[in-house]
Amino acid sequence: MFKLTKLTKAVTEALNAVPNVDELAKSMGAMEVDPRVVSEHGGVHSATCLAYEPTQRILAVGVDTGVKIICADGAEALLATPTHVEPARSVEFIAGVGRIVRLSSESGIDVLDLHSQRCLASTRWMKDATCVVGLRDSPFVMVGESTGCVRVAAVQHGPDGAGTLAPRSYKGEFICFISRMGN
Amino acid sequence: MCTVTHAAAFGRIDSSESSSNAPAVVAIKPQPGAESTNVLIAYEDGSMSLWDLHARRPAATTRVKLCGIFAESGGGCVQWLGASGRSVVVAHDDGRIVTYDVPTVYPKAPVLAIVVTSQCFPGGSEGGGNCTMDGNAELIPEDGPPAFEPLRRICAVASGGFVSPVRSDGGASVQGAVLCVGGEVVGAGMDPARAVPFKVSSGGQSGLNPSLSLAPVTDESPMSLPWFGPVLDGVLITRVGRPESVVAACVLSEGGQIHVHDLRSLGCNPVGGDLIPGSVSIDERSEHYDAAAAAAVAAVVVSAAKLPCAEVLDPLPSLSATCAPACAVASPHLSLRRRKSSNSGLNIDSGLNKSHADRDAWGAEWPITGGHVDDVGAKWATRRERLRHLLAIPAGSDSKIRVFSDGIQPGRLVELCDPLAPGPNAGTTAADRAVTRCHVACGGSLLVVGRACGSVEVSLF
Repeated sequence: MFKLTKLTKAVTEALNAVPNVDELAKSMGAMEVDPRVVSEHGGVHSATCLAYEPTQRILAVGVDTGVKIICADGAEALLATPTHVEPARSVEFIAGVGRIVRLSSESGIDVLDLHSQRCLASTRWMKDATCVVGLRDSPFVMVGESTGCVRVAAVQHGPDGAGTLAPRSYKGEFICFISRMGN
Repeated sequence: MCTVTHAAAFGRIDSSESSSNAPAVVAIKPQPGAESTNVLIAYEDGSMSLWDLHARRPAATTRVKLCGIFAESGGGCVQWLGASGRSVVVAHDDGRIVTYDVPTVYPKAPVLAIVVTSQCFPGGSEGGGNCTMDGNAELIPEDGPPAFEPLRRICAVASGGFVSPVRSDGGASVQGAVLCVGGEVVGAGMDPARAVPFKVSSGGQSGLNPSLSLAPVTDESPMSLPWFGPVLDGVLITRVGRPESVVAACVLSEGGQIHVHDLRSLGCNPVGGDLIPGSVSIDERSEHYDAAAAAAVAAVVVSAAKLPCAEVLDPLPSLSATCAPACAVASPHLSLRRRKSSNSGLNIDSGLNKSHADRDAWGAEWPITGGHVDDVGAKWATRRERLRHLLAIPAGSDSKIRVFSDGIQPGRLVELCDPLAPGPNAGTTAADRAVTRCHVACGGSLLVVGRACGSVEVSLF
């Protein structure tokens, strides 16, 4: 009788026991899941700016998650930003290299490659960036700041999203233009 | 009256020099031309500098302080006009667009002046009078301060090649257009994008510095484009292989709406340009003018203006506000063999036919999609063939299932068939009919739907 009660209690506890999910997950090992965006359809409500490349008839739409590309023959793609999920301030094609540079409202700069559909470089600019432009046929971009300065940076490649924009010196020093006009 | 006390200064920047007096940089525009090493830098207060990257000094600066430039444009308020690198159009925050003449830079020349050539107010007729200004004079509105909102973005296209829009001969017809966002009258309910056509006139100056006039070339200019909500941005779209010929405008409105507008009748496209020997011109000022050709072209232009304003993208499928808890499923390799064999029971477009019809009316002129598939496009198209998807979502309170696919028209998610009604065993209440599971099998040919009451429905496509 005593043994039966003890066995019943053990069975009841076992049935009511909450499984340890963490231990279960460890025992199963890492799952080989690589979630990623493979297709994009339709409009997006967070679009804020446009750019058009007339040679290949590509329309780039700046959205909060990156740059949406509307290409020939109805093809669409989303070049996602890895970290700067913010409203886009501007998008610009960089002539000659098949890239797009995107500036977010929080000074996040992303350089995206059209051919590989990857983010080549992503950097949170150290100061308030107001505009950015890529130089033709080169890895350099020029960044305008709210302080009135223009700085030069170069794209340093890395894995998807791990590349950076490295500030470069311009003849040993950054350039700064200040135009003052008085009355 | 503004006077220049310090045209330009440059040097090393350090943290202590981040002067609050320095205006913010609002645009950086490399000068057109593959061999050019100059960049135009515009500041929030409206001043500009043409910086020589090799000489490391300013080559030209503005000497007159106009009104400011909208700071949040991300560089969209300044545009080079044409490919000559001689003219710049700037959108100011008082609602006017101003063209500047950038002087030709010679080595070791003194810092030259960027002078104003013309201005206009695209937002209304109050300031619409054209004026060609002396570059060293201050622009003062005749009727007091204009009451226009700031211009937020512009996009400019001009005809001709590397010598346009400022041509030394002064006799050719050089035209173009500027698309303006913002600049409406203060208090106006709508802010439609406006297309402002312009033309070059030799004016009172000649030789290397003819004036650029923003004279309207049609009676209805500037043209306000149809309004679908607050406008965020816009770009001009040119004909393939003719970067100086405007055919359409692409306008982004709030809510992610992107509309394409037909601009071929705007009158901003070059009709003369560089004539081919033996050809005729429809420009009255040309010695090759042909009235019959002009009439024929005019007829074509008028008919071409009837293309509908069409939306670029289909709206995303959305759930009804009263629908049951939703789930969605996607399947690759969707087989559409039944679509070709029989159209019975298939409604290809429910609610999307109108937008597709508008788009299809453009035919080969559609500037975004439907163009020639280049290498990049072909690569994506190949990838797309492997990624046909099926999307199933509950339609609303009636617990029907809407099924979408991108296999019918590549790149567009269209409704594949009529909404699937609940089966006979799905119960009668909304709680019973709530969709709990969706599963796609057989490459998208089978859709399995599970409901809260335990019923399972299998649909075949």
